[in-house]
Amino acid sequence: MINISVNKVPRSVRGKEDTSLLWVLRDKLKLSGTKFGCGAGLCGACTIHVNGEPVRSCQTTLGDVEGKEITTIEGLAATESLENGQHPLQKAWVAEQVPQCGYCQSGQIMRAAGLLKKNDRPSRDEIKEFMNTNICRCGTYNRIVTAIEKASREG
Amino acid sequence: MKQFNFENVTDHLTGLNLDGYKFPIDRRDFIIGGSAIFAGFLIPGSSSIAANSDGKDHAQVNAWVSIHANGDVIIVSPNAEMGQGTMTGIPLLAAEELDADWSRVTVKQVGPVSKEFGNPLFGGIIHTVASLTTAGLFDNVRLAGAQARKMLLDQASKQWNVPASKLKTENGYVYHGSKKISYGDVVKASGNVKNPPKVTLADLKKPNEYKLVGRDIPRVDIPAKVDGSAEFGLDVQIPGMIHASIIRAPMHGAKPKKITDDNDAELKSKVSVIKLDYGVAVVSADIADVLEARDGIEVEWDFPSVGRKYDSVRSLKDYVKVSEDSSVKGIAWPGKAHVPWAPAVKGNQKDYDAKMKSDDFKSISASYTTEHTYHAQMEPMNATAKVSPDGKSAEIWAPTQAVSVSTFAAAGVLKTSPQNIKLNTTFLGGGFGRRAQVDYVVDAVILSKITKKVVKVVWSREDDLAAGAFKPSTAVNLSAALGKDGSIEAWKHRTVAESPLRYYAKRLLGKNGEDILVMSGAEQLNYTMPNQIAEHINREQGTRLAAWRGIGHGPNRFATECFVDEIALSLGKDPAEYRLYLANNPRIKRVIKKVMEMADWGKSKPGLAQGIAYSDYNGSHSAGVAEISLNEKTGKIRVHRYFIAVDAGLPLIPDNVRAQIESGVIYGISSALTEKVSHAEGIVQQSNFHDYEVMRMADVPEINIEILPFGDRPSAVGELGLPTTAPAIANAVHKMTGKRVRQMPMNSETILEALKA
Repeated sequence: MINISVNKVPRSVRGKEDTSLLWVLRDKLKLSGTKFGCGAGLCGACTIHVNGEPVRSCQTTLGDVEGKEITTIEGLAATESLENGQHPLQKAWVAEQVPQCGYCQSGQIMRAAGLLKKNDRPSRDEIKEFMNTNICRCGTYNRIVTAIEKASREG
Repeated sequence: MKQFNFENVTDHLTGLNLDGYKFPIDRRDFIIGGSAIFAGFLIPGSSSIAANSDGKDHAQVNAWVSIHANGDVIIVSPNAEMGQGTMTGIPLLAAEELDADWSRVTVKQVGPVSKEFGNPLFGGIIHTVASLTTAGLFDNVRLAGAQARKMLLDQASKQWNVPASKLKTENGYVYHGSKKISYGDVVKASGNVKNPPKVTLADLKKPNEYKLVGRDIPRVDIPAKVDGSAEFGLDVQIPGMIHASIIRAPMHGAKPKKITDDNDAELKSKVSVIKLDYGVAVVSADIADVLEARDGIEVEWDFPSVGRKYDSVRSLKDYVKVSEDSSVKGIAWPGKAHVPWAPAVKGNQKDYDAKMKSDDFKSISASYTTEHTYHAQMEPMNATAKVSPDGKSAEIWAPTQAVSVSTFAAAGVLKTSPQNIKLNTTFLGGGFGRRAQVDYVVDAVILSKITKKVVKVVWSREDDLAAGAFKPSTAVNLSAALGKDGSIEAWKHRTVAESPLRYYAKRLLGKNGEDILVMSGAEQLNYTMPNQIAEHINREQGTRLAAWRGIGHGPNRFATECFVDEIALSLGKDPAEYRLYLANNPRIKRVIKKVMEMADWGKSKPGLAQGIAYSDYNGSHSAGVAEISLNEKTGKIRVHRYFIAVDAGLPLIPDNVRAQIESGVIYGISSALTEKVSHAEGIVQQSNFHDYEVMRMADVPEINIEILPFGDRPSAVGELGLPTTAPAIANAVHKMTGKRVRQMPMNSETILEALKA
């Protein structure tokens, strides 16, 4: 058993140290908001936070996160103790009607949340550079930029 | 109306012979009425509604609409929601005619449970392709809403003893003067109503009466897509479910010959290895064990002789030669004669030959190529199936564009009837044409049948690409005879490509073998060209192919819209003005003029250049201008701004039209600049996003869109943003460098080579 903390809840997970955290979250803990996109750290659909830093859960093993604090899209608002259950980015994502198919958006929001933690007023170029790691095949990129700017202004 | 026949939909995958098998899409027993039939999920969920099936506290007016005593209105969305907004747009049309309070509307995703959800443009099946869902269902779904409204008026008329003609409806209420009753209260008194009143198209609203349509109504699926709760195919969890991964044949028709399993005894004890006709399945309760075991299994293959010979570089060179060799005859593309929504192409070979030879006309020709491209939808292929113990029925959970065809395919595998297949359409993590095929559904059904368990089949990204079904590579040769004033007096379009429909849906071919997936966009009906010929020269290569966003319009319009530029410049004319001269109707002129105005055409800043293109798509029109820079040392093109004017008829939700155009433009620019799948000895050479590069945020241009409404019906939007992008970029490259690029993708290699020429 490996002890981890997911969205502020302590969990004991049966599994090998080298098991991919992505599949632990999705299939063992039923937190399927974190998506499988490429399995190779190339697309960002599986982005979560480990101790507040955005990382790719497909490139992270269960052993890597023992004793650490994991946040997934399902816990993003709650872990930041937001009252109405939505992170400013999630509100901005709805206001700007960002998602299309929506598959990459959990990862996009988690990545963006990581950016705002470090830099609460990023410039447009800083947003584009930081978010370049995450693919959106529907091409919602310009709306993502607008939504991050909105959240950083109003958050 | 041509009825498409979907027999043999799985033949190409499984080798099953389904000859003579009829899918009863028109039989009465496939039509199921009443409210208890609905299998689906609700947005925004309301668990109390599902329990109401006794017919007393709600009225199931028709297959589309039910009205509940508590005021809830449930409207069906039968098509695949893959980001295009159908789950909002289609129910909105019923709500509009019903004068419903949109805040009380719950949208319910259903599978193919009623004939009424079928698209008349696809022979009455549910098939989410070709940007034709809204255009195809526009009348039926509005009639369903109008019928519900008329039922409420009739019931209120009885309850109040006032003639229905004295009543009106607004925002969920029936009014008589200032007296009002809510729809819920009407139904509370009436209960379910047998034989709801008939309505006709004459009962429907005029566009100036619309209250919901034309407003930026937020999409109903978006809240679930920002908090992780939206359920995609891969997210399905069924009690007792096990997982499978398939080591897939590296080319179509290859069969596993020898399987070597090097896993240790402990792992072997946890997984089953199942040899299929087209691959080797690794199955286990735990996905982690499946993926680990799969890495320890080696498969040797028997390769098919045709597919094994395929080399994409060599073949494309051959395609160009063939396209230019008029002794190789092709299949004429008649357009409308084949597909109801395509325009007719008319031409005369003798007249063409005479004009091309005559000294009275100037002849011009050029050839253009495109490579295979991959859909790269973010959610890899997957499906989950639960086959009954007797093997004669199944429940399926699948992210599929091919809603009806999935049930036909599953029925084919199980040798049963589609009525015995219950399909749950999940959200799709992208479609783009790939999910119009059903190979992943077949996987799950076969493995569930064999294992007698609920099986979720998960493709890895590498599977998704190595066993992907792609846009075919193409060579297009164009030739034209020009009159002294610049008129195009004869025009010939020859596309050489392997036919996707011959690979996965032979029954959709025209009677002479016409393939719309190759040939759409080869017709030039919006330019004045009295004599035009279009033909397809098919080349069998044994590769896996699919519809790809924009279908033939991508490669064909890349060629034709570059060629129109070449013609204009050869005549010393401005390319935009020349298109206005060729345009044969005001809608075309309007989009071209608008984009010229938006882009300040002809006045780009130093270091930047503009190129223009026009394209229609299934009844819609667009004109785009790309503003680019080009690094002549690296060969890298950067699109700084893209301007596009679109006329898609009546825009139902303007912001969603804008979102779809943004999407199509980015998809188009991405494919124009970097995307390419290559094959060597029949095997795909790319494996993941590091060597199949799609556009990322840093390269995305500013996109400026103007929507020009037209008429009272909507037309295609989802693919409309794409066809102008590649030719507009190539035309801008010529403007900047004086060099003509005639091949896609326009990556550094292509550009550096063109600059040397």
